[in-house]
Amino acid sequence: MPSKFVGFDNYVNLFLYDPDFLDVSKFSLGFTVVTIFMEFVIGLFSALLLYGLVRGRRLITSFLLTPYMVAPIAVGLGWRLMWDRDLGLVNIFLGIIGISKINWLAESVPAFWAIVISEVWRSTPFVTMILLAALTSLSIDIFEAAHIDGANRWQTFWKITFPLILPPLAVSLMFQTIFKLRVFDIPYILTEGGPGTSTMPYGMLIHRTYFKYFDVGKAAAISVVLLLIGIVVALIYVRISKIKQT
Amino acid sequence: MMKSVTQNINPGIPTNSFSKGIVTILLVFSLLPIIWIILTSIKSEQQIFSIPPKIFVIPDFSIYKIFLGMGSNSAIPFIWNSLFIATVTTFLTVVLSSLAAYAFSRYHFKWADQLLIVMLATRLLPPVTAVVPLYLMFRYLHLLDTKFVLIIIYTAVEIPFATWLMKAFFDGIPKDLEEAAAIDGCNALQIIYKITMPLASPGIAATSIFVFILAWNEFMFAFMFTSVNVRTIPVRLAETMGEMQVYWQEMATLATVIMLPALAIGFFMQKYLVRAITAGAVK
Repeated sequence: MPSKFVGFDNYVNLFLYDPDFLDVSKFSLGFTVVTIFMEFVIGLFSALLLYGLVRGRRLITSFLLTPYMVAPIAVGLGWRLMWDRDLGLVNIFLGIIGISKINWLAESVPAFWAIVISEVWRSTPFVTMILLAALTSLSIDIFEAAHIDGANRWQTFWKITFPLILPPLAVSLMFQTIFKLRVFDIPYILTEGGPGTSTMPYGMLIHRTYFKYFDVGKAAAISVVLLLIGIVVALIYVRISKIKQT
Repeated sequence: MMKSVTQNINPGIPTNSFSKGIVTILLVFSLLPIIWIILTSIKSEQQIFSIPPKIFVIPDFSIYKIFLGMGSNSAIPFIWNSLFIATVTTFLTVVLSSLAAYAFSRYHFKWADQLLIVMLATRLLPPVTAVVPLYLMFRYLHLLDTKFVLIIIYTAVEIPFATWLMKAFFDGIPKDLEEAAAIDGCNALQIIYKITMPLASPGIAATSIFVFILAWNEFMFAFMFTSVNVRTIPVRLAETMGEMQVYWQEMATLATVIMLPALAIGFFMQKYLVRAITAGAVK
């Protein structure tokens, strides 16, 4: 069969007539915003906690960083065991405080949160590590000066520490945004995108469109859309690092 | 006295019983799933399904014996594929990216900055967008389901980041030594191999570790581009999910086999690894 030039048909179909694409976009957006928010709150808090530790900082840091070393595929399967309806530790803990069993991976809202928490578990150490390195690179003199000038802890944080670690914070935020857009392993193992397409990231939609429905044109169109989103985020990152340099 | 002063100016959260409690919660949250996987891998089928869950068990290594033995269900071929691919990828990436990084760090040429930013931008793009064109291309070349295809893809994906990382390390090495060597009659290549590379060895170590772990852990490309001949250990792990059920003990055993090398490297070489991960963002 000879191939035919179709202009923008693939894109028109994608945006106007494809309910899956809309579902996948919704999931990706929600997933990205929620995980990044959680990772930054927990990451910043842990970095400050670790920096404030007088004793055992190195060892505790090593332990807190271990989830980032684990292969995402192993994270997925490990957490699948944690979320299991009957064997999972999560439901067992909930049982202890009197909450009845939740079928985490089979219903769309619990499945969303299960994926979010598994991803947060794996990626937060990345944020913690960058913020801890940023804190360690700051000269203690500034904080001494702030202390002498009578700034309290809260003021020191918001007026000095936070602005100083903002550039590395922004950089790791950009990286994490891209990592969330390209997520594949963890949702694939936990839910395979289900139920329906409610927890399906872009990568899995591309995979399914191409390897299951053999629709090369549509798979390529989704790839281009994702590529454009990636370029926009990358440009924002380049902007920020330029501002940082001047 | 000294200690209380540092405590006061330290911008971190001070150590008290409240913060110790939070640290404990974070530690449990971080380690419990890992410990649980390892524990499940040494439980017998019956112990896995017991409610409430058993914590103290007589270790049952039967699945380890199957996977690490020589029988037909052995996981050794998959481990070997992963090890081979990750090692070759690491070697290629480090050789190519350190030479590129040296040029970026030491020579001034047209478009150098723009090139660096383009390289970083390629890392920021989701690799999954390249799956369709790469698949078509490698099918045309009859390279699907070979070790070569994964090595090529991983190397291409890792080079931009490795170059940035190595450049940061080269930038930290003073030029004076190289100039002295040049005066003593070393040529450009001799300077690189005799002076700069030995000095950059911590950077090379950091980059190698990082690239190796990423290649060892990679699942998506391995899953899509290989089928029978060169399945890697992460792909074998995904196969423990049956149509209707997960084979928990097999899953946990393979997950432990994948995790342990990466955990050991991460734990003992934390210093290098932290440098590798933070080099791009801090400074």
